[in-house]
Amino acid sequence: MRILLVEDDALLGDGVCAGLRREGDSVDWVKNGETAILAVNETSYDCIILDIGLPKMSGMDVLRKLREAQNEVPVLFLTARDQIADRVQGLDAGADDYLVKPFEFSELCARLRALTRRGRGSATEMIRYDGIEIDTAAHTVSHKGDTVELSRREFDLLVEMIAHQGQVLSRAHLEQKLYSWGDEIGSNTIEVYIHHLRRKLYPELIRTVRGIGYIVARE
Amino acid sequence: MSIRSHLLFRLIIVSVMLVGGTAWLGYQDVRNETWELFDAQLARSSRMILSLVQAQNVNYGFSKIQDYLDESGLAVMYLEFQDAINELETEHAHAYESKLAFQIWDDVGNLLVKSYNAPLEPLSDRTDGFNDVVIDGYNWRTFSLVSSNGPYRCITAERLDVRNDLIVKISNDLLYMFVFLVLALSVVLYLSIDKGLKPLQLLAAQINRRSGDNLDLIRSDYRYSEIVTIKNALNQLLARLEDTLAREKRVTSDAAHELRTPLAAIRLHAELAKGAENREQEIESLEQVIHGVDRTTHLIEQLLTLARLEPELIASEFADVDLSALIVEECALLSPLAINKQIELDYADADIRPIQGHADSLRLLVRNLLTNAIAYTPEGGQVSIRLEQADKTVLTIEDNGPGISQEDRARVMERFYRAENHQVTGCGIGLSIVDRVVQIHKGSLELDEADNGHGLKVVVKI
Repeated sequence: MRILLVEDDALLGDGVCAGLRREGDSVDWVKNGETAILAVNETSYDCIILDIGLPKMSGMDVLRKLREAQNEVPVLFLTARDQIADRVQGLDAGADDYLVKPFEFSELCARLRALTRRGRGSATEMIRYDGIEIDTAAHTVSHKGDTVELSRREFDLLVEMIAHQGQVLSRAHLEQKLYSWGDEIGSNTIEVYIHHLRRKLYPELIRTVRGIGYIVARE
Repeated sequence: MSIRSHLLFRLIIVSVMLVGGTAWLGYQDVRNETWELFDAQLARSSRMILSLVQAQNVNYGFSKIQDYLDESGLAVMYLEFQDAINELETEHAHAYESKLAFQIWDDVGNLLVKSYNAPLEPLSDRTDGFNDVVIDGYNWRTFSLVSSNGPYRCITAERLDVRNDLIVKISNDLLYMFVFLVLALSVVLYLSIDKGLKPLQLLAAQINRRSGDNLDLIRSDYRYSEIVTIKNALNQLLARLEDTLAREKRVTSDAAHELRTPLAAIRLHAELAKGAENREQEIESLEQVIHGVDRTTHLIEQLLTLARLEPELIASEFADVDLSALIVEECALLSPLAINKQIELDYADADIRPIQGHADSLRLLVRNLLTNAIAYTPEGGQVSIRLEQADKTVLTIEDNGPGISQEDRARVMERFYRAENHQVTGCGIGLSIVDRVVQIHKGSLELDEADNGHGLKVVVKI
């Protein structure tokens, strides 16, 4: 998953980043509202973790700006305030979920998964496609009952492709989804991952649209 | 002493004096008028008797008159004289009549006629006018009159206790009236004052009934402007109190929330350490945990420091402080930090008078400003500290760090506010502490751009 973290506290930001990366997500970390807006305009994120207590432009302002710009990316906000009014304000401003500090890291992960799942329009952790079963919580994939070992990026690529079945996804789009800023991207890495997926699952799963990108046929 | 008894005491004293004074004047007047009236009657009686006696003498002779008088007594003579001397308005056998007497003498000193109660000796040794004499132990007022066309002298006399009785009687009436008036006035005054003070008692009762956390304004309407004044003053105080309490509440709440972020970070890094895939990750996370605990400790220490900076308490401990020595000590204490970042600490002072202040809190001020300056100054930078003597002592600390933008300068003094784009960890309380210390010393604090155009200049005047 490509996640944007907006948090001005160095220690907390560092922790969330490290934790999510260990979970296999790509995280971009910005420390103020303006940069967050710029980042969202540049990149398509699966989810945003937004701290409400930012200096100058507050998280609430960022959220309003996003929703005004018709950006529907799922947003989970972090708040130090446990009053119901504070939370309601955040949800009213267009957030999808919230966590009150301090929080359990596993809960953060679960809520992020739930948010992205909702973004995909799926109600469970499981994604099924033509004999392939993907458990997004456990990060496991099976094909016709046999467990398939996938790397983190292969897994993300597969989920992205199946989530957008019937659409041609460009290589640039996929790169954006898979890598955070500063990640080293080889010129043919996406092709390599596509190749791996075809080999580990079955070749007809992903078709190449020459010069444009890749497509998974609608089931 | 209560207002009620004070007012009552005062007003009763004043009314006693006024009523008493009036009564005294009345008494004097009555006494003089009575005296005049009785004297006039005495004189008139003399004249009357003399003219009557002269007229009777022509017809009967003095012996006949005396016989008649002796036979009938004074009372009969008075009946005969009644019409002539009705100005006396004495009734028949009036209690006062026996206290009247007269004599008629001829020019060679023979007593011609006398009333039965008159002595044989002259009632008065004066030939003319009023006189006071004592006869048989009684005080008498006499009036002598010599007839203009005959050799007769008439002396009328009246016992003084008659007029004195009258004066005493009138005086007694006045006294009763005085006592009654004073008593009536006291009651009226007591009731009026009681009624007047009632709203005050009501207000007090209303305030007494309140619980400690009820800071609502007093809404009742009062008719009297004095009570309204008190009510308004109280309401203003209540509003101010509510303000202060709300501010304190907000600070506590802010502080509690401010602690959540470092706690969240500590928890997160602890979880990461627990789930670390290798020893290296584990150590890295644990180091972050320790860092987080240090930061939280610092935050709590700063909050406690701020809470302890109670203006009243500190102002009572003011003494002479050598600010220069204090700064040198703090510089020495912080120089390891500066040396680590190769920052040059440059201190210069002129002749400084000792200032009246609180050494410990001034130390906090210097330490917080210096720590900030060192923290925000990049490696190899410079922090300059100058102490000058104007009408106040002026401490200027300049660094060549990033400075604080114009819009942030006003807000950095607020608790927990941290200017943006900081690369330095801090809790956002340092400048609040500095500001509080400056306020306690009734000084001023200014933030400005450093003279070289890059960095922050802090000017403290105490």
